[in-house]
Amino acid sequence: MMSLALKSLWFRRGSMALTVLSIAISVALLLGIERVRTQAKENFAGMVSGTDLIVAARGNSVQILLASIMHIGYPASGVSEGAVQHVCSNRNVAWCIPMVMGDSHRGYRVIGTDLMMFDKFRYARNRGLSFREGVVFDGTRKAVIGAQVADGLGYKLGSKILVTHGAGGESLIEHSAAPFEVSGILAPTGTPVDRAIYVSLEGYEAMHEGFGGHENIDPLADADHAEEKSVSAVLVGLKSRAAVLGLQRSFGEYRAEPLTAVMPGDTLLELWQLTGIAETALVWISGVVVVIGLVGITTNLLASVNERRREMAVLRAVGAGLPQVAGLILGEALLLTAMGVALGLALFQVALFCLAPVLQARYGFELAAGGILPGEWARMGWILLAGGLVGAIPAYRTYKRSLSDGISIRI
Amino acid sequence: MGTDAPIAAVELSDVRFGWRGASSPLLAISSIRIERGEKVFLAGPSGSGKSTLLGLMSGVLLPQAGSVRVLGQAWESMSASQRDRYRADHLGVIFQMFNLVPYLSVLENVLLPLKFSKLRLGRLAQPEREARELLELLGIGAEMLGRPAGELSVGEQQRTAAVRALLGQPEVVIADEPTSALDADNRDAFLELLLVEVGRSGAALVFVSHDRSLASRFDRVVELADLRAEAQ
Repeated sequence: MMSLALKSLWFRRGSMALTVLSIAISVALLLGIERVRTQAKENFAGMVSGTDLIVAARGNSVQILLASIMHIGYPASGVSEGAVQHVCSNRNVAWCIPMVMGDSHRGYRVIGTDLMMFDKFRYARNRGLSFREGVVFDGTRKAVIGAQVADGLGYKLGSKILVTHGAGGESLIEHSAAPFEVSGILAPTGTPVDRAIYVSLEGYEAMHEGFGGHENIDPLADADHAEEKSVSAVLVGLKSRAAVLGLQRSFGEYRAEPLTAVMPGDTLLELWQLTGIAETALVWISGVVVVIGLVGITTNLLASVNERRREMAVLRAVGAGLPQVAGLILGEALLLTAMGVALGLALFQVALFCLAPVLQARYGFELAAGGILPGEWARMGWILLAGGLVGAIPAYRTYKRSLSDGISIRI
Repeated sequence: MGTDAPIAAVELSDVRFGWRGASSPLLAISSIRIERGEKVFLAGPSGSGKSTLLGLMSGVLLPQAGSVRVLGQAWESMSASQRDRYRADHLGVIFQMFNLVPYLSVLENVLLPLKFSKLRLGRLAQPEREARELLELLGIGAEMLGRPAGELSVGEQQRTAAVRALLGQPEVVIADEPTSALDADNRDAFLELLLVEVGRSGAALVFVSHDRSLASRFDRVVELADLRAEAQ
């Protein structure tokens, strides 16, 4: 009966091809949205995987995480030098990376940090930073830039960088007295590191000291740089992860100033709860697109029930039973869905193959091209099942028709 | 009915059939008996219930009263799937037109009943070769076998349908106005071939037509009008 269904579909391949295509597109869309969604989480989880705690001035943990790792927004205020010492000198702390931020260069974030950044920072399951060209900064006038900064602005070793105050574009106040020279370019990481410019803490500070004369026209100056020698956040790696809960509490209870210690993994979960509604909406939309494709199959098969009465009568006459005649239609629905799913999967893979390198290069976003994730198999299985369910409608109609028609129809 | 009588190919007794909701039965037949190997011309004007009768004979319709037997087996005593199997095993059917499944080739159409009947398949040592030979006999050459059935002329389609009805020697062949879509020359040639091949296979033939000019070629003529009058 399956070979009969195949031949029947091939016979009407013109209109069936469109139906298959609509299913294919919706499947590709569903898989695509799902892949981007899960990979976004994977990517973010990878970015924070090497960091055990992030310490910043007391504030919202999601905001601290976004600012220090994703480079989105800024912490509410700074952490004093004394507090940094307190954190970094704890006997359970293996390494700590202070970061100061608030300035940008042509849209790319400028971050003041120390050499620990290039030695200890870990991303995507224990990969460290490496240099494509050049070396780390060795003075207050040198900068290390991410791969995308270099590619996007066409910077090479020795290029000069003028820093703008604040995160915006060209029009903001420039620290014109303080140009930096590129001493090194990092290899691409697929993380926000690629879009950052790293200078030494001393260089960052010096830039603001040099800028001091114009303080009266800089409305952000007081908020961001009020405290001497303060940093925005400290990334902390521990000798043993077992200590993380105790340290989180201990840093949070630091007497001298209010601090918040963030566990990046837990805070990511909080973040996903925030974005959950939008994700759910996307999944629903792609689900609805699949439903529309399935409705197309049903409509197509329902429309053909009448014109195929004669064919069904012939099949009945040569010995096909009502279940077999209905099964033929159900089989066609399943085959159409299966072909749509297969074609959609192919479209999805081709799109991944073409887009993944672009996304990786331009946005540092890894899509894990190639391979099918378990969740995606499950989705395709559900779509097939749904195809069988909607196929039951024209199959039932055929059954009823064939029951009343028998084997002879007068036309 | 004597128990020593040979088993009839098709036998209807005291059959009443009406569509649901109709006040009086469409068909009321006290008795039709068609012997094995007998060629019967069933005559009746259109609207006389011929296709209903064929539906009853082929076990697609069941009578409200009475019994319809093929080779001694009553359709009403079988389950739906048993009837489908039994029909595939013992009946060959030829319609007025549109006999073939349009998306199958000529050969695939002819071999179709063998998919549903192991019995008929088992009777053929080399099903495909025998199908080709029978098609050749009825003037369907090897060059046509792979073509989609829809590309054949009406005459060729009817002959293909005849081959399908005969392949694997079912005991009863039912032909429902098989010549009415053919012109005179084609009609005579088709009837001749059908009668010869049915004779060769030994099947009983129930040939329904309103064209009485064909009746003389058959063993017996049954008037549908007479049957119904008898019952009333």
